[in-house]
Amino acid sequence: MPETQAVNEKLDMATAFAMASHDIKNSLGVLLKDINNINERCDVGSCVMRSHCADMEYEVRRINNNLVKMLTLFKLGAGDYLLNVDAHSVRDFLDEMMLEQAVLMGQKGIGYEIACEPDLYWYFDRNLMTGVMGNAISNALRYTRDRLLITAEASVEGLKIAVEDNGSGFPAFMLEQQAEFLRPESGFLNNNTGLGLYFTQQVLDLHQHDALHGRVVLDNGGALSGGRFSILLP
Amino acid sequence: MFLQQLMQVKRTRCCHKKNRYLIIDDFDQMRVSFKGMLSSVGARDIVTQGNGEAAIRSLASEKFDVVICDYNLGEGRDGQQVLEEARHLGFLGHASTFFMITAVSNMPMVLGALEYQPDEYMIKPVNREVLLHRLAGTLKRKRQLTVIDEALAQGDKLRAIELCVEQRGSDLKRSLYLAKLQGELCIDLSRYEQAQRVYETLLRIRNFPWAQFGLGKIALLRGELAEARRIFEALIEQNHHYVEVYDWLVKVLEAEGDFARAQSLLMQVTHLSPKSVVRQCALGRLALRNDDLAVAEHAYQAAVRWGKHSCHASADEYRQLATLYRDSGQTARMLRLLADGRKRFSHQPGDMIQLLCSQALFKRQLDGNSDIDSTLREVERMLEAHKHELLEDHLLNTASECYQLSRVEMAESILRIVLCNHHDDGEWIERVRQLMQAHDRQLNAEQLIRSVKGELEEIHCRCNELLSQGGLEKAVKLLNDTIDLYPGNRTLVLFSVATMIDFMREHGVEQSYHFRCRHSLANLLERDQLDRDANCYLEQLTQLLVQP
Repeated sequence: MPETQAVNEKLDMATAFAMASHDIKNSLGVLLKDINNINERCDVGSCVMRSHCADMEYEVRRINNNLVKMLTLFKLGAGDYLLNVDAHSVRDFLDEMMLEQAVLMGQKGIGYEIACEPDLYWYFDRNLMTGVMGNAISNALRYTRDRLLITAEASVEGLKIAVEDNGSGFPAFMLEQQAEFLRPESGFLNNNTGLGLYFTQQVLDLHQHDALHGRVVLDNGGALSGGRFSILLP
Repeated sequence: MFLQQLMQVKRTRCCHKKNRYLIIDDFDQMRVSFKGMLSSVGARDIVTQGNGEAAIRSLASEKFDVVICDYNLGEGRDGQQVLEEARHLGFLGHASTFFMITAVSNMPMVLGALEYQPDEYMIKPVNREVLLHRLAGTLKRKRQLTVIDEALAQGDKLRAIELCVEQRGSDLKRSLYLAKLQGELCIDLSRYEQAQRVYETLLRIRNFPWAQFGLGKIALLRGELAEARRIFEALIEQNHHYVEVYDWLVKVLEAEGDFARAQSLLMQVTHLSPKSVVRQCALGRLALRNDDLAVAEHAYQAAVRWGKHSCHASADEYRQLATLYRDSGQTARMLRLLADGRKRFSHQPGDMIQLLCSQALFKRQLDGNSDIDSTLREVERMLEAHKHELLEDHLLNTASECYQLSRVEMAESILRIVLCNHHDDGEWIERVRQLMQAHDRQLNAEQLIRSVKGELEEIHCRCNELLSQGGLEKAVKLLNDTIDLYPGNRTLVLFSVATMIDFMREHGVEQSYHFRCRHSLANLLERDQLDRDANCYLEQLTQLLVQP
């Protein structure tokens, strides 16, 4: 029966993905720990290994972000994603996002600031939003000169979160083409920024509520005059 | 700013010192890693376990504040099963924290569970700073829930519901947790209107699937089958991983008499999530009802297999499977299964007695001359030692088997226990009467029923006499002595509680009475959460305490 066969193939594919990612995740965890160990043993501040550690950690996190993106999109495509919406303190969530990068930012001499009321709460799937924000922050860390600003505030349309940097901003063609990521045939999806935006929009769509839709926008300027990644989460 | 951070670190350090931690991971490097993260902030009391079985043993023997558990634990129980059993058996209260660690985001087995969810669900690789940050937040949020655990430990669900409202506070995540708990407790106490209001308010905020699920349960419990079916079907349509919803939809189909569809739905869900013993047994029962012996055999085999590592295992699936084996001529398998069962239930007297009886019965059926005396002596010994802990169904089954083995005296001494626990309950008396009639003992049945009734009613009369003469304390003593003999007798327990409450109303709270009341009511509520009288007395008792 061809139908049963197709189902089996799909199941096997999902299991293969799960197994492989389980293993990759374990390896990444061990790698991160090792990198931290090396880093901690360089007690001389000027030790050349330190910047290598920072670079390695950055790459490991990128692998992880991409893995998360890939797995989530795979599940969304298969109609298999279980949304897990709970109430979260936004400040707490953003603090945690930045904590994850604390060592790395220390190494690279990047400072950050979070502008968000401490009693702001929102309803969202924390793991999905961690994927979205991890992606945005990782990108900002790559292009910033030495500062990041994360802002969050509630509005009638939803929660606005922005990640700003003081680098030279997104290139003009990217800003012009940013709407294209929703059309796979445009080719914009073929670059990593396009995939990141596509992923972000998918996550925001899952959070649709009361006929409110989320959106993601890239622009330049803002308080730090660099690139700015903004989302609206219903 | 820096000083503030330092203070924060100090505060969490102090709180980590007091807490007890359990780390469960099958990968020793990960256990070491988590342990290192926790000790770096001053945690000292850390236990580590490498599999689900050892973890459950740890949880049963000591209290933990925080459990960090990998979902994937190799052979045996997985992390979700550890969580469900620990919460189900009351080893982990609402104030304790359970972190599930998973490799991939969005584990259907974890997120599909609408009833038992971990407090946090973290994805590998887990960074030390993030873990500690998340832990500090959760501990702060959950600390206030200790009072609810205390109320629930005393069986005081009414107080727990009040506390759910009182403890909400400004943390939205905690309020949501408490609202969910409030809904569940209200359903437990049949306060459907209150539960419905809770869920409807929540659904106006977001479309939480567990709130929809709650509304579906209420509809079914009220007998609104069509509405319940609509809600459950919509939830499954929304996501086919919500396995608990299938179980409830099956209940709807059974109530509607559509046993064929109920069976096929259960087959679908056991395929999706095979590890639940309760669900496999439900499938076995339905398949037997539908005369689908192959499916029944398969389901009971699965129940036995997964029951090796589950607190939900019972002798019932062994007996059902053994019967199926016997009827299909698989004698060797049947004997092996019953022998395995004796090993499995060596520490569970109720199930053990059932298995011993089945073993004796099947042996006798195979060979009329086989020696079953030693087995039956064992049954007798266990019955004597555990007669008060056994469930009524166990007792009736055992009595029926004793009759089949021509052990009439033994059967009737068991039935006497059932009657003594229910001397004024027509339904149980009728069940005993029918069982005895089925074995041609109708005359003896009437005699037995009369004798038990006479004995207990006499005690009742003597108490009333004592009460009318003002001998309140003497009456309480007589009642409590009788209850010690027949602890399952609800009428006597309630009578005694009422008398003690009356005494305390007049003379102030007496510690030993108060303790005895709580204990008795908690026992009744454990058997039947919906016991209205028990709940009502519990409320009176609580009021008694708050009054000066």
